[in-house]
Amino acid sequence: MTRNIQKSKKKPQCDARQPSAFLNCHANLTASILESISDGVFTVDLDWKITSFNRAAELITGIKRKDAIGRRCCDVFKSSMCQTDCALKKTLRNSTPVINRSCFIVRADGKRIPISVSTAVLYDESGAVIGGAETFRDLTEIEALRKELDGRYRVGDLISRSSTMRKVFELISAVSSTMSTVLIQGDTGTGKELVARAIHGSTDRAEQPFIAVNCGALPDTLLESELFGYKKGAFTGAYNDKPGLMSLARNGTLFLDEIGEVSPAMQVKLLRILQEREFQPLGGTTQLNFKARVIAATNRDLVAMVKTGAFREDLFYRINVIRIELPTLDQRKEDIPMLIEYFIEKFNHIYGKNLKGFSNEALSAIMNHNWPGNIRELENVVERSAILCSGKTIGINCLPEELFGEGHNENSDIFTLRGSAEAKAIENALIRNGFNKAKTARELGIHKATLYRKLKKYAIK
Amino acid sequence: MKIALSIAENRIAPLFDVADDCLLFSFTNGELTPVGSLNLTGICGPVRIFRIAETQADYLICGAISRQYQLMAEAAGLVIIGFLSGETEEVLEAFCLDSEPGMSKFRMPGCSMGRQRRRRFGKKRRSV
Repeated sequence: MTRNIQKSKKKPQCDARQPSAFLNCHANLTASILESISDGVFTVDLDWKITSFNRAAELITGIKRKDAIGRRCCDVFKSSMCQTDCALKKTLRNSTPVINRSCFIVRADGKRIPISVSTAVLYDESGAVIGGAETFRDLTEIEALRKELDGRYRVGDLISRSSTMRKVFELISAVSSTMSTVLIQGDTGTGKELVARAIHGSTDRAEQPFIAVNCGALPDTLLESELFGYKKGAFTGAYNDKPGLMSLARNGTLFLDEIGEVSPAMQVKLLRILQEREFQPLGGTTQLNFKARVIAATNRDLVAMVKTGAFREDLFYRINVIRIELPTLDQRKEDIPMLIEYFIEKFNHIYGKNLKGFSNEALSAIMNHNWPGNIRELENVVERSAILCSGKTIGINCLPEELFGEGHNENSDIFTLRGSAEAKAIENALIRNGFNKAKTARELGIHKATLYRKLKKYAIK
Repeated sequence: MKIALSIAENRIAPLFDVADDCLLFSFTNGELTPVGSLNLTGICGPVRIFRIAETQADYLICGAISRQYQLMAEAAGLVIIGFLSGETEEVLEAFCLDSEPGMSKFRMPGCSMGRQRRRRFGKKRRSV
């Protein structure tokens, strides 16, 4: 008898004939499993008080189990969906689980952690609802790994496989270790703000604010009060002090979009601030330090503007320390399939759809278009198509009319359209590389022999 | 002095970054008076802080708040009393009594009294 007890102590087993022992054993087993997994798990009762909190939940949230148990889940979890879009509340209301919903939590140190959340209802033995369970996964590492894997094609939110953009990526990583002023030039919709955000995100100041201001959208007086802020009584209607964007940027980044639209008077003020690193709020008497990095962007040709006297030469040299020129979408058509994939994923998430992609016919029309509005135009077309499409594949009927403008041939099949797009891409690359075939082949990522074969095929001279 | 409280359903909103509403109170000569409210639905980035700074609030009492917003709020001259939870009235009452032990019971789990709060309780508070 004694021997039997000792044996059972060494290796506990569930005895199905004794219900309480069986349940205890399973409860222990469940607790052990929950402790060993890397996903955070917590359960709540019907008053939203936490009843269990596993080890991974402690690690991800930075909150100890003893502090979490008995507290309201939103005070512990602090996620972006706690207030208005609580997944657990929805699950308990509709008795349907939520799977992999993305959101973020804020830890005690103020750091935002991206997570994915899944929820389920908890029942007792009689089938009555006794609360809910939420599992969450820290996506920080996955995000970092994905970035590492995609590193060649992705910087911040920029994605590209094209060699022209690779040069931009190299410049972004080169300037991220400095505090130099950067000038981004590119047509509308080419992603100037994304480049600025990518630079900001890759510096050690990424945690500091990124403040964007569109200089072209505001008249001088308003731009001045927005940038520098004002003191109470500085002008009619200034009833209170207001801090300027330059103050709010602190040690982060101030992004001056459409700098080419700034008036000559404002150019003088900006030049002075960039030189002195000081500014004075309107109606103020003291100078404030300006510590943020400045990134300027424009779709205008500043060099030409300097020549005509429309833009101050000294300001141009002050902001043109490092210049990044963004190619148009027409110059990087090889990126279109990847961008489409990215936008479809985005709009699937926003509109709750499950679209797989475009039909071959629709894709040909997209590749054949010259995209004057660049990536923004492409994004709008994908969004429109995602809204209109009722199936899983977006057909040509969901595309806007303007995609079938001049040069559209109703009888074009996929091979003809692909061929003409390929020929155009080769022609453009040849022009960019001064008709040097070795360089062109390198840029297009194909062998020189393949290039010669394609030149012959498309009769390009 | 003026106090802004980020709230959700009569409680301090768990996360300031996405909170929809703010209540404004004036605390003068020991008397607390409601002076208005702010709707911040859909407002993010610096404008969220601007809206509060424009009300001339001295203090922002809120739940969790991300580092970016903390920095912007500090730059706008707001003193953040963050990472608190509880009923709006109870938190306000404890704040006006200006007692650190009273406030610490409203701390969110795992969040110690921050730099700003220690500084506030270390000084005699201004009474306008």
